[in-house]
Amino acid sequence: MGVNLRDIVPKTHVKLEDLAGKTIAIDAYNALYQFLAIIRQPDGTPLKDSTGNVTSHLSGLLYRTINLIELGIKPIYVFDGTPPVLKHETIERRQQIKIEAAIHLEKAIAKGDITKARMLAQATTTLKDYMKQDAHMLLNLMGLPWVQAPSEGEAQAAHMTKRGDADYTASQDYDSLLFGAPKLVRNVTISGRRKLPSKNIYIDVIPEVITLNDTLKTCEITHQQLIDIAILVGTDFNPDGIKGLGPKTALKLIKQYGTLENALPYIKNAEFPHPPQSIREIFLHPQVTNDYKLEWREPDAEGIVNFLVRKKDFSEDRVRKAIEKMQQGAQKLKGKTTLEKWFG
Amino acid sequence: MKAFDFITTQHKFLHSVDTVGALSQEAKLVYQTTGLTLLTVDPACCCMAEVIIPTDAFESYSAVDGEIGIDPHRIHDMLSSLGKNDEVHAFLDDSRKISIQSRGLFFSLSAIAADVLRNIPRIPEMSYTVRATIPGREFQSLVAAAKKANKQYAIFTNQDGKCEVVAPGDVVVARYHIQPEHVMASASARTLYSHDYLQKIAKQASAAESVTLEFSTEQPLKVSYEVYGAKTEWLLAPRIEEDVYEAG
Repeated sequence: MGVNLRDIVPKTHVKLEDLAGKTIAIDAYNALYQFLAIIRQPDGTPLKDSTGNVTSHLSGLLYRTINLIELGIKPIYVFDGTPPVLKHETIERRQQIKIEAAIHLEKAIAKGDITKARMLAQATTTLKDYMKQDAHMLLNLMGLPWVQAPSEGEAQAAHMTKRGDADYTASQDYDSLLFGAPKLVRNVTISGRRKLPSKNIYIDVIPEVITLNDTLKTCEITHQQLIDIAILVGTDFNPDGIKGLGPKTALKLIKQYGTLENALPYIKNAEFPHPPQSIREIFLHPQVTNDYKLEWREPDAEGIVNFLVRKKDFSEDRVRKAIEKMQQGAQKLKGKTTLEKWFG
Repeated sequence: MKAFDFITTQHKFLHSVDTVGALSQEAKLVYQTTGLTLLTVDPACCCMAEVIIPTDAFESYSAVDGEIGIDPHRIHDMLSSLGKNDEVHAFLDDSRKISIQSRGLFFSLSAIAADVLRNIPRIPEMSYTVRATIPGREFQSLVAAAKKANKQYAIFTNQDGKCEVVAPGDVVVARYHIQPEHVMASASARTLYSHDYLQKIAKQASAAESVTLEFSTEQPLKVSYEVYGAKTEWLLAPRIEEDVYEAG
């Protein structure tokens, strides 16, 4: 879910084309969940192969990633490792929500309520082990780098962006800023026209760039204070936050009292499942690794066709056209340099 | 007090605005007593452009030193509604709004504050081993022809006394030979440049009588020319020669 900082974070809308030539470390789980939630049939059923295994994640990974490559963007997918112990409550809670959604989904299907069924089906989305393996397999065939994070994927992506191995961290969650990502870009893998769940309304999803420095400058706070605001509002490690406290009020409190600890005496019902300092530590010193290799190789066209068409029942014509687009994009990227080194 | 105030003609102003607009929606406008400078760099940081318009290129001009950000696409839209030879009066007042007036029409748009503008440096001073001059129209034709042979890149080369632009394709190889009397070279050079950018540069440069191309091995390409009294320079990052077809 991530922390809700939307109301206090300054963002700039950009076109995907503006990110041409940039390397983007994408929070893989975040992207795969989005694909599984969005890429569905009208009644909410995900795409499946002839054996009944879900393939929505592969469809998103292939076509959406190729859209990026075609524009000259270099993606790196960063996968989650073992979640921090403090996240267990959030994970259990999410599982419970999915179980309940699945029960309601069955009832909605039985009643023939397609709209409700689609909405509930999205809420049951689960990323299974075989889907992760599928994603690794497809990325290998596409010649794209992926990194296994020791713990949180967005922390690792933020770390790679801080090190300069990526220009942006891509995630839907603002947590990347808490992990210190200098530049976060949202809506990268889901940009375009999208139907709002349960409404017959279509919206244009536009990528938006959020800079950590701009955020801190605009809010007149430090990075640690931003983390404190997030803890007050609620993070994956204290999902409830403090009841009735939104980001704007939290910002006001932290600016007034300096730290979360100083502000606590002035907040009613301030309770945390874990000491705030332990939550803060996860964001300030996340478990990350420097043990990764970034290499963009030529896509294995026949390998992709064999995997997606022969094993996963994708349309050969569509897959081959997509590979062609990808090869053209890769060609554009080959040998490309920037002027930065001549700026002095 | 107006930060700058000038009168020019639509086509002159449009040409300068379109030059930076070819690369980005954001450009820096530096106004000084000596004239205006428009500069930008594309979002991928592969190409930059700088247009220097001295005071004598305007019908009238006055300014105090300063800089702002502009959206060249918006200015293009405004200027497009005017005729080619229409007189254009533009100024920046205290409200940080750029006003453009012509034939009783009045446009006003907010400038982008210089401190929120992304970093747009000046074109760095560099030395090049090859300097060649060709007519502006020919530059556009050669880039168009080269792209037909190879969609991705062209090779600028000066070897064995021959200065050429070569586009090696799978089936066709396009070559443009620059006459030796128009070339000054201190060493051999060979570098690849992307057609995506060369096309943008060539389109704007086609209005110039002559275009100067400067390059060295694996160094940026500098393209400079003068149109309507404005001096324009482009700097294009090289592509690293790797796994590419060797032009025979």
